[in-house]
Amino acid sequence: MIYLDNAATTKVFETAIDAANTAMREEYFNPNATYKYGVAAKKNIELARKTIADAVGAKSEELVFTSCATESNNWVFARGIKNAKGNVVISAGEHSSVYEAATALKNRGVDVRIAPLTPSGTVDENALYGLVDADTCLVSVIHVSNETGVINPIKRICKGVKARAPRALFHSDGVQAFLKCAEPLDGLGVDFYSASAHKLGAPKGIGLLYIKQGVNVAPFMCGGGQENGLRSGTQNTPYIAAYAAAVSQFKRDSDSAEIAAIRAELAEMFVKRGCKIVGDGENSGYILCVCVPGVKAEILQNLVHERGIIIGKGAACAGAKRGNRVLAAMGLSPKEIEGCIRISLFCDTARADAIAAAQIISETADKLRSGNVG
Amino acid sequence: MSDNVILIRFGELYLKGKNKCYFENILKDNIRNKLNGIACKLYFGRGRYVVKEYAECDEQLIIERLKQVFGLHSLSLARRCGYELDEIASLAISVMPNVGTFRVSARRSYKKYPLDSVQLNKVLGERILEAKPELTVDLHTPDFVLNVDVREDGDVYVYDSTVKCAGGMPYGTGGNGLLLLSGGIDSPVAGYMMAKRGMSLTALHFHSYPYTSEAAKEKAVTLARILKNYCPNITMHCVSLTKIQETIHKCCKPNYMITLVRRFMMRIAQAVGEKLGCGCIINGESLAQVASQTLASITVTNAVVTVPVFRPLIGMDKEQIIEVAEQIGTFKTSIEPFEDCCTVFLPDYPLIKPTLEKVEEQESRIENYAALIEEAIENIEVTVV
Repeated sequence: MIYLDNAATTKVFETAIDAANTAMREEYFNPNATYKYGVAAKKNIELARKTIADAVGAKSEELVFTSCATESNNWVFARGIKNAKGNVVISAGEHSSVYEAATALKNRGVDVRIAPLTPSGTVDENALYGLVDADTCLVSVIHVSNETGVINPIKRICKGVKARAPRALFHSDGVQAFLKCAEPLDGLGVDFYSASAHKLGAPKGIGLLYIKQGVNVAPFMCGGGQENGLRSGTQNTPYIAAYAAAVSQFKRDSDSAEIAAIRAELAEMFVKRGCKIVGDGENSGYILCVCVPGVKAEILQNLVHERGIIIGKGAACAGAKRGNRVLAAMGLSPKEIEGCIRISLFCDTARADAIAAAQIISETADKLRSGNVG
Repeated sequence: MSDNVILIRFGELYLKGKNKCYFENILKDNIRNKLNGIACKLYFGRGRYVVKEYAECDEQLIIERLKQVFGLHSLSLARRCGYELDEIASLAISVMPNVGTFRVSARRSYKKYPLDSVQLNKVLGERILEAKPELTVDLHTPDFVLNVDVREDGDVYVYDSTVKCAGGMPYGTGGNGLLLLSGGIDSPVAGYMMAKRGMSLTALHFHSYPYTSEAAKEKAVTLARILKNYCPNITMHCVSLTKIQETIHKCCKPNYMITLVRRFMMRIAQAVGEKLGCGCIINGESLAQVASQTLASITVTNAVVTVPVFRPLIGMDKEQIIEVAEQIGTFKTSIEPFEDCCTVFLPDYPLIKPTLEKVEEQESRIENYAALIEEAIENIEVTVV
């Protein structure tokens, strides 16, 4: 099997499994207990937090562990708005967990404004600034698109927003960017930043929210006051340990230049076969969205699956919804969207595998068009 | 143990004559099966059934399950007491609100009871007014209707509201039908409508694996599972259309794809139905909804079978169909976006007005027609619902 749906989730690193196993088998104590094993478990959490914070250029106390990035995003929208009369601005390229959280605010009477995308896949910065005003209380722009891999220049956008709305808080969904984009978190200027562990070789069920030092946000969940009173609930010690182990291994193993080169090679192959690459903005290198003409992505996905190739056809988290809101916002026609596949790479993706898979995908698409698959 | 009882009324069975027993016996079995696993006692009286002696925590579960039994018209949550007038009055007063308007609506099935229904209304009304002076009587548009049902065997039931049930005829009394179950909105509703008339269902699902995914097939199984709430013995058979579609794609004009596939489906359905003892085919066609559901299209697809084809949705609007789908709980599953066998090789412009002559000419280009059908039937998978 060649797995190329790493934007949906990644295979868990052995080191992450080992870390989780150790935490479950030997260090299973409640980290909030006062006996020495509990204290040791708490120390392990803080060590893990520091490992992750150091890797992404943040302070330990700025990271709060959550159950997933969807929780982190929902937290920001549920509690990050101080001025109920203020407006909220998001980009049209947001992941559903931001988009739906913003829509929920809209249903409660909040003025939610949506900035359009350019055909390249980035947010239209001028249009975004046009929507921001002195009453804007929250702005959210995805860092790397989960559909196309296109990078939004968050540092510049954040600065531009703050210049127009100094009191606005800025959030970025960094699920596909965390550790994959070189800029340190503290340098981006954002107030909130969401991340998920399972896109980095850790298990599902753990994520984090970066909250810039000095920014006050009410807790999303109340209870025993864990995570500095911000996120109650006994901490998921095995997965926190696994998260830190995965971050360390990813840092060690990842070669962004090599991944970007593989992506470029794949893109070239598909273009030669008459396909169109969706989103020509600066790319993280890990995601390639290809519009394959004359075929339905789902059918192509099913057929290549039979040949051992696993690819995506848009955000897996939005699998229960028809169409593709983000690609439509980039100006793709429904017919083009129907033919869009998503190939996503990881640090363990071998070049030869990726090339072989692209070959099979292209051949299968050709056969599908001719109706000669069987 | 709850002090309450649940009164069950059946609907159309009243119209039955000498064969009423047959329908009632099946209805009773269906009720017993539906409440299987819940500790309670069932009393089957003349014209009305009663569920009693159940745990209070099971009350809502019993009501929800009974609402899924075809043949039941309505039910009421009631309190029981004996024939003593004081006892009835005291129970009536205990369930009445303190303010507002009311009416007593007594029904005396036990004709030997000393008071007739008009007298009961009067006496109970007086007692209630004495106990709760802030209430007033309004016989036409009261806020609260107190129903009093004097039954045989010393039982009197007092209740205020009635919950509508599924209606129709008892499941299993209307023969066996083969439901062509896709993953869409319409076919589960079509199955529900026929099951509501008492027809037992067997589901036949067509897929185009590997063009269509396992998830698409699983979606159809989920739909059958939801239908199982109403159709307890439903089974599901899955047929692969892949080879047939590939052959049509190779041999015939692209815009004939849907028409030809549907004729294959009907032939396969008839053959499978015969084997499984189904006397008819049921599908979710609604006139003019899509190209394959025009009168001309239905005519050419219907032409290949001799068994009756029931299309209970034929005159319904999509909105009406969706309303039923939401009510029976299939809608959310139906709208999950997976390609199904009908969207594989979907032509840009499918035929709206096919003629039998031209369709048969296209079909004649497929040399191994009968073999393809045989192979599809041989490879049928029976899926656990």
